[in-house]
Amino acid sequence: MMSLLKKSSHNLRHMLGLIVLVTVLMGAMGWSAVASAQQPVPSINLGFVESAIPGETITVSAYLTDPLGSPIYDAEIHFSYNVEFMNVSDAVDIGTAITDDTGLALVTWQPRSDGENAIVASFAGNDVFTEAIDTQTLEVLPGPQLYRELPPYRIPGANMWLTTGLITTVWMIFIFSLALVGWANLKTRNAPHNSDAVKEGESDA
Amino acid sequence: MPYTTETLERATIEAMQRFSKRYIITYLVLIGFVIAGAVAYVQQLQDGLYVTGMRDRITWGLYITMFVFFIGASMGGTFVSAALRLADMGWRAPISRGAEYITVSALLTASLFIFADMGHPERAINIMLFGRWESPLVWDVYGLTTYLAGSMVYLYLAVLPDLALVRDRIGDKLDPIRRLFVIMFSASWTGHPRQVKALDTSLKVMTVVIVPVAVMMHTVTSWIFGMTLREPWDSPMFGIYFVVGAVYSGVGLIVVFMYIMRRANKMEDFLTDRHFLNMGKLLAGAGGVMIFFQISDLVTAGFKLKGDSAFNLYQLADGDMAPIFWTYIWVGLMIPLALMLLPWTRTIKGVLVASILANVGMLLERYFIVVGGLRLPLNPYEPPDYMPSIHELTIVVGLCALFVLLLMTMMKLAPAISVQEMIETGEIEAVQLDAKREAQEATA
Repeated sequence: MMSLLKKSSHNLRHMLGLIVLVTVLMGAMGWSAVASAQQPVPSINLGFVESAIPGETITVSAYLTDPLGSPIYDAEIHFSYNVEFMNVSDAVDIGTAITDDTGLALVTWQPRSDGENAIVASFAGNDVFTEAIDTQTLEVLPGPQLYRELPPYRIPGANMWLTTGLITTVWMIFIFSLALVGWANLKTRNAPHNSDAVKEGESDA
Repeated sequence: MPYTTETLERATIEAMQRFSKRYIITYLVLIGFVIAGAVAYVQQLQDGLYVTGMRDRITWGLYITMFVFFIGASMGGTFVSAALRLADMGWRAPISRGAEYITVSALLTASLFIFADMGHPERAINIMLFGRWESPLVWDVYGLTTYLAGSMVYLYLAVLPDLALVRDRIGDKLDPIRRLFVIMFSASWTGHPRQVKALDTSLKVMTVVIVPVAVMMHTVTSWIFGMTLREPWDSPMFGIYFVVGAVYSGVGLIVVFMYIMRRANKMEDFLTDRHFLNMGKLLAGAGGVMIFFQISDLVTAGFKLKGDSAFNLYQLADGDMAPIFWTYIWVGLMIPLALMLLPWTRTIKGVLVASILANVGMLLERYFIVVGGLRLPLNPYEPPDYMPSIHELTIVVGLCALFVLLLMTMMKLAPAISVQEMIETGEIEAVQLDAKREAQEATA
């Protein structure tokens, strides 16, 4: 009876420990969620020229401010633009910059191709503020393309047929050389052996 | 000892029949290396090229280095055999057969290195079926197959009279496999004047064709690098640079082969000091041209330090590649040249040492061209490092062992010295004069 009571008390202690642990964990998570929810959400505002041409250097700016409109300084802003290439779309880095006393971060960038370029500025958040992101579209007008296709460089007369002809000729010469010897061998296969003639000559001597 | 056609025939045929204990042990050890290489290759096929030291940025490593090296080795064979035949240099006669063996063995080995470098070798045929003509890789495949076929035809035509000689002299005494080989490939050669004339014409035609094919092959191999958008490889000089480098290492490899063959087959009477010294002169000539090209390349690129070539020059001069580069310059180029210029090192052993060093140097040169060129970062990263893995090294050793095995096998299938050429060129009389001169010098 005593041992049964001891065992029950032992199990009870374990159970209580578990309940305390779960409560503490849930409390921590809840506090974290509450704390996160309480972090102010900053706003980020992208700015750049309305349009550009490929290769033109433009300045991309971003203002980071708190909910009251006050600048947030010493914050890292990451700039990128979305690109779609061969049915795969992804963000390509433009660069990163740190906000100054006025909350301004600046980078320079050269658009690579014409069309609409979605530029993204993002702030990853810190101990005080949550993350923030802004996306704006830059119209890149048709202009001299950075990647341009040159007309093919051709050597007059040099083409696939010439190369094929050259290789075929070389192979034909190989075959001809073998065939010439093979034909001579076939034609004279019943003629007396040279070595036999030598032996006969030796025996005559 | 009078050197006649009979003594030469006897010596070459005896060499074919002699299977010394050393030969058999070497053969078995080499087979062991080949098997180890094959096992490593099977594992590489199963696990992919990840088992090698190559990664996304160093995509060509030791396999391609060895491919370029063996392509170069083959050039030496063609140069000595065909180009010296064109120039009518009689002293080539006892060397040319070995040179032809080296050409064919080196080309077969080189092509296997390409397969070793492929993750999916079963797709190799696709380059023939779907390859684009604009790609230097396609040119290289067609060039290599043409050069290999031409070299095999050239070797066969040159060896034909000797195969008939073996058939007539010791055909009955050979083992069944070699007897079948000799009977099958000696065709119905009897030495009839009409056959001799046809063979002479064919060999002349092949000689004229095979030299430009060989030069083209090495140029195309250089274009694989030269036509890639990488500054360190961006040199119009690459073609001729590869050709001369190929002659340099190829001549060196033939000297090593000659030395071993001379010792193993007791061919001292037919491979004399004169042959080694002439090969030494060729080696020194090619080495001199290599030094000239190297200086020209370094001075013009180094003076401007244009674009990314600066990275390459810095890594060669005092960067990560400097130990390899300077070993190549001093051990691979300068010392062999000095050995050939100094009268007291101009001996058989001197030529042998110079040849071995030349080959070590050229192997290093191929390495820093291939790997050094790929180390250039095209994005703002640190230059990548490359270290061959055990798998890679095992496969490379296995294929090198296969190269030697092919040579050893060929030497037992047909005479290692061309009897026919020795007669045609009058080299038998020339080696008699060598012997007389040596005897006189010994007496004096």
